[in-house]
Amino acid sequence: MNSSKNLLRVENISKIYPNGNKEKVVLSGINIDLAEGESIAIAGQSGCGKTTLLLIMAGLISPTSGNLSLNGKTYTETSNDIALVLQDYGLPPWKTVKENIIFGALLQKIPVSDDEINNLKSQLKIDGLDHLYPHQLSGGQRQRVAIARILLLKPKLLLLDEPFGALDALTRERLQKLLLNIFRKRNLSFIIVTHDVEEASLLGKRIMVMDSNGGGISAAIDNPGFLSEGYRDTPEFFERVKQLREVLKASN
Amino acid sequence: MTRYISYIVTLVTVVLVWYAISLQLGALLLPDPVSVLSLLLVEAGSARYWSHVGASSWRIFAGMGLAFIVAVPFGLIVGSNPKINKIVSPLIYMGYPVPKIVLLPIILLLFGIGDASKIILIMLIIFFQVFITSRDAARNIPEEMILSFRSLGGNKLQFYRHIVLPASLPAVFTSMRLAAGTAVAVLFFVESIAATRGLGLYIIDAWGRADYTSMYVGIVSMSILGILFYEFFEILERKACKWKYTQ
Repeated sequence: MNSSKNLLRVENISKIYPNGNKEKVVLSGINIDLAEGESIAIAGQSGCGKTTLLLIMAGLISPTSGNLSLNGKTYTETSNDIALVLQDYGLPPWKTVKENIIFGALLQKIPVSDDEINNLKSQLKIDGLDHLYPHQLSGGQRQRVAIARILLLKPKLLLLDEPFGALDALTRERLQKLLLNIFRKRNLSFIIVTHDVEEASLLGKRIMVMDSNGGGISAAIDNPGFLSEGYRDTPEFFERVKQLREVLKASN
Repeated sequence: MTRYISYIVTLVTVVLVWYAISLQLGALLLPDPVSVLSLLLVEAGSARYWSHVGASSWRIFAGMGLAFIVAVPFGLIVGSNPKINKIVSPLIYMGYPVPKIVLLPIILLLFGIGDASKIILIMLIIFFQVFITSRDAARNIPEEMILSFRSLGGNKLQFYRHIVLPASLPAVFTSMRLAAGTAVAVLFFVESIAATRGLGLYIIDAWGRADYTSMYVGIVSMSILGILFYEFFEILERKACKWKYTQ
């Protein structure tokens, strides 16, 4: 990998929580390099530390040891270049759709034009919902609003924590396609955490498998064809799913 | 609209039940609603009556307002800061069970029998209810909401403005509505003991003179005052928490 294009470097990250008189190792020796315009899917069973790793990368919790750098600069706190989308969307229920979309920009005092907001809404198919509150939206619409809020901030790195986990199969498929379209058009880099082997195989250029016991990365699988048209129906995709399933079983 | 219809139905039911009981007990013990409401209309034309109503309204408004202004920000700050909560909570646990009403003689000695003593006592009693509700509401903000906010790059001030305050408002308004009843009860007690004006004095004075119709005018007036303050906070909540009232 060309070092000048490296966006995120995760070096030897570990996270240990005190557990009575003992210690609970959640993460150990995690190393990840993410290039600009690359996507990584981190797969693993529930409780293996995927979300903790993502929150550490987002600068929201501190690792016990290790180093994080973005574009070569070490960081220890949240950065405006890194955006996070959580499974429950994180939309304040007291803000309307429009207020939620501009919420991040408002907090960071980034000026945004109505045209910019309207284009984004149109791209994500959430026009005409401006005055509704999150509880008046479907799960898919809520997630689109959460994605719109993030895209308006033009982050360099997008971190997604099982973003489509609570959605029905068809909505999930539509949003996965939407994410890939945005990825293509905006040359985004993202890391998605998921326990769904198909989702990992569909969205990650590289798939990293987390060990369910040791808190480390037990395998990394290249998935070069993931952006090809109709990838979901190709033998390569099915092969990747099968391979990933076997690796996951072995890591358990 | 449905709310107002149910209010009218309740009011008519109360008046009918009141009328039926007054027939059983006799006018001396319980004057019928027509006599009481007729006298209320007469009193509504006198400046003396309105000076009693004005004094009581101001004391409740000021006492509750002060409690709101002090207890809500304090509760939200304590609730969203575990370290401060650890220090403050033991003091609150010690202070809350103390019946503040027993401090009345001290408060009267310090602040006299004017407005200040009533306002301070109402504030003191309501403060704990509103503080505890605000603190608990701030403590119960979902972790994911906080993480999401922090990842968007918000600062501490924005956290209170955009997350803690709106997340806690419904609980705060519920506590203020409940406190409206407490405030009226406390005020009646204090005004009946030491006051030169106020509906509490009006009721006790009428009772002393065995003028039971006037006494019931005072009771109805004080009840209306309680309902108005309850409704005031209900309306404020509907304005401030619009998302709660959308389908």
